[in-house]
Amino acid sequence: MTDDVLEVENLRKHFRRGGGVKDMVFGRSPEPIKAVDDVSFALAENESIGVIGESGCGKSTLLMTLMGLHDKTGGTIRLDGREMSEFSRADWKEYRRKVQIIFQDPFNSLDPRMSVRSTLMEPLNIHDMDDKEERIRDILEQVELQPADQYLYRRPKQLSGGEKQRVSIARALVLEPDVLLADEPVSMLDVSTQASILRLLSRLMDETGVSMVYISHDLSTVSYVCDVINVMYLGRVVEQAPTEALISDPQHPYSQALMQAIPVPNPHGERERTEMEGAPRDPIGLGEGCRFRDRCPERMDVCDRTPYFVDVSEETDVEGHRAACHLYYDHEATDATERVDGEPVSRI
Amino acid sequence: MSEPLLDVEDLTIQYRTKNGMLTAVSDASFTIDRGEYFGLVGESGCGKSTMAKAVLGGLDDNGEVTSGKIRYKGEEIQDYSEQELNEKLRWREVSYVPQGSMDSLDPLAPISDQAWDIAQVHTEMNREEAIEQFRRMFEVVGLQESRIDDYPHEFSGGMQQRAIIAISLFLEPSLLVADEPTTALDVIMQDQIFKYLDEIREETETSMLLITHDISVILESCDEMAIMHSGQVAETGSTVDIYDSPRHPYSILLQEAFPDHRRPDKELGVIEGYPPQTTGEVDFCTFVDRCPWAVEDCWKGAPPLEPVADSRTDGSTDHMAACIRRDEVHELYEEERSFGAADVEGATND
Repeated sequence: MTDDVLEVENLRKHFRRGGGVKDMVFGRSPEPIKAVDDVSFALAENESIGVIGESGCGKSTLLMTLMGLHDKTGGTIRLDGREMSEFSRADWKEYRRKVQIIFQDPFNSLDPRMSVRSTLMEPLNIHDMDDKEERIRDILEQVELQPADQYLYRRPKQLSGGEKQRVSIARALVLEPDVLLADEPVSMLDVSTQASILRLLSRLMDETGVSMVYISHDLSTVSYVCDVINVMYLGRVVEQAPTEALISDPQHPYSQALMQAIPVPNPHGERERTEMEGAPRDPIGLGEGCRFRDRCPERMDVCDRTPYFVDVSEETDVEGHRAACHLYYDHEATDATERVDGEPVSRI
Repeated sequence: MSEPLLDVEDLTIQYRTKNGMLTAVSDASFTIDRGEYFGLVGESGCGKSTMAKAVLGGLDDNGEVTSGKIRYKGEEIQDYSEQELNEKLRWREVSYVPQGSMDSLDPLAPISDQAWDIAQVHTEMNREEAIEQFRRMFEVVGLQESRIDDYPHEFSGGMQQRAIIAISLFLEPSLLVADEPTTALDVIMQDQIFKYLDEIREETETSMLLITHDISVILESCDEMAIMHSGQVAETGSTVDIYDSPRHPYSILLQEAFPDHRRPDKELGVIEGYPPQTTGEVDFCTFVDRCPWAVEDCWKGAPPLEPVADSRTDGSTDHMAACIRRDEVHELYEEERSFGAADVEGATND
């Protein structure tokens, strides 16, 4: 076995839609919304993986499914080699200690009536950990809310946005989890405090050895904390690469368009505006084929078939660089790899 | 130089609250020329949206301009009545692009009806003329003319925002006031919108007051800019001057804090502390508590916005900073910059 903490394989989360009366009469069920469709990745110890994509690409659904808040439709989620669907009640409780979430909005994700101390005490009580007071003090120091005494009895309204987010991070880390799931943790903060939270997250990863899945629509912040980035488009991962490779040499036409469209904070810059027209299509009735094909500048006939997720490290010279695009493989010789929709599945 | 299109001079805006007069904008000054895109940047609560509302005469009921002037084409507008604003200014001269495109259109009326409503109030046009003109604006922002009778829900978020821009351009105003026009959109959509805004600047003489927290959008898309901190204008000038030689500590630190995905090695700066809540007359620099270079004098009076000594680029005098140490601070910063980040900076900064 590998030393991956969290393994996600061909994860699918489809939402059923309510059909009309006619559908009921004829016993038809409308095609589900494929919010997450065959997403695979492995999170090693102390690794941080970023997932970026536009709104509606399924990144939040992915996070909710990893958290166990949505039941998955298919695929596997394994923590320390154990598959989620075989979890007993006790396993679930352990999972919910080992996997912690940091929410996007620090303004609404803390109970306004609870002091910092009781916010941090609650999970410790639930999981029956020892040395509670000491743990709370330690974690407050770690997230730089010092001196701890000054913060213990404050309520959320007595904290600034950045301080609230530090409390959220402390709440996640106080249980000494193996995996942190971070849902755009800095997007609600001002730029002057953003950097301090990003730095804090990097430092805490070094100190505690925790792994992280970091979700964001904003590549600029992801690039400061993640080792590997996945680009999602309409439920599928279209490219996966080490951060630097993705920024300097994106391969999938969608990733290229995304990089191109990010503004550069420099008035001397000569960035061209995007060539891309339109918006992502409705996630209903996507059917076969590459989901980006209707907007893709490189569109070919073969794009009506769902592309394989292939190794593109020969193009970029970077190990672990993969993309789901027909441009990058020999169509005759690909039977051995997997398609992104997972039909002829075989693990790479 | 001809007179500016919009001239904001020593403007103070206060809100009446339980705790006294809350000062949202304090002695702020800037000017926008014809055909110029002007960016106003700052953190949440710095007064930038209040500024936008004041220019449109749309302050909340408890807010008022307590001193200073807003001149539009030379005429003072800060004391205009609702009727004067509607007759002389709104839509035909100054129009507004709000942030939340999703809730800014009437969901029960086709887009064309919403344009017609505006035309009825503000022009003499008949419906045919109005629709004809609106059709042209639809084309300008890259929407299909055939869709002007669609309802808002038939458009995607980006298209709704473009429809709003079409409505705001409809009566050919001279000034667009855009408050975070693309913040709710994804980056590709944001870039599409700015592509059209670039074209509008080239084709018409429209000016824009662009308000955003995202300094990169302003540096890329605007000619001139102002940086606000807690109600005060910290620095104003061309985007090139402010990028190349920022003179206010806040401008320097804000740029240091801003992430740039093309430079993941960049050490992100942090600005310690938080902007203060200010009430009554503000007689100190609001940045003083957060400033690493503050001296005692910074507490003794609000620093005036004054031209910087040697603006390096084109010798123009419109580069101004409100800091009593504006010339020293620049040197301190330069030292740090050449000391620490020279290797990364060299590549992007010719």
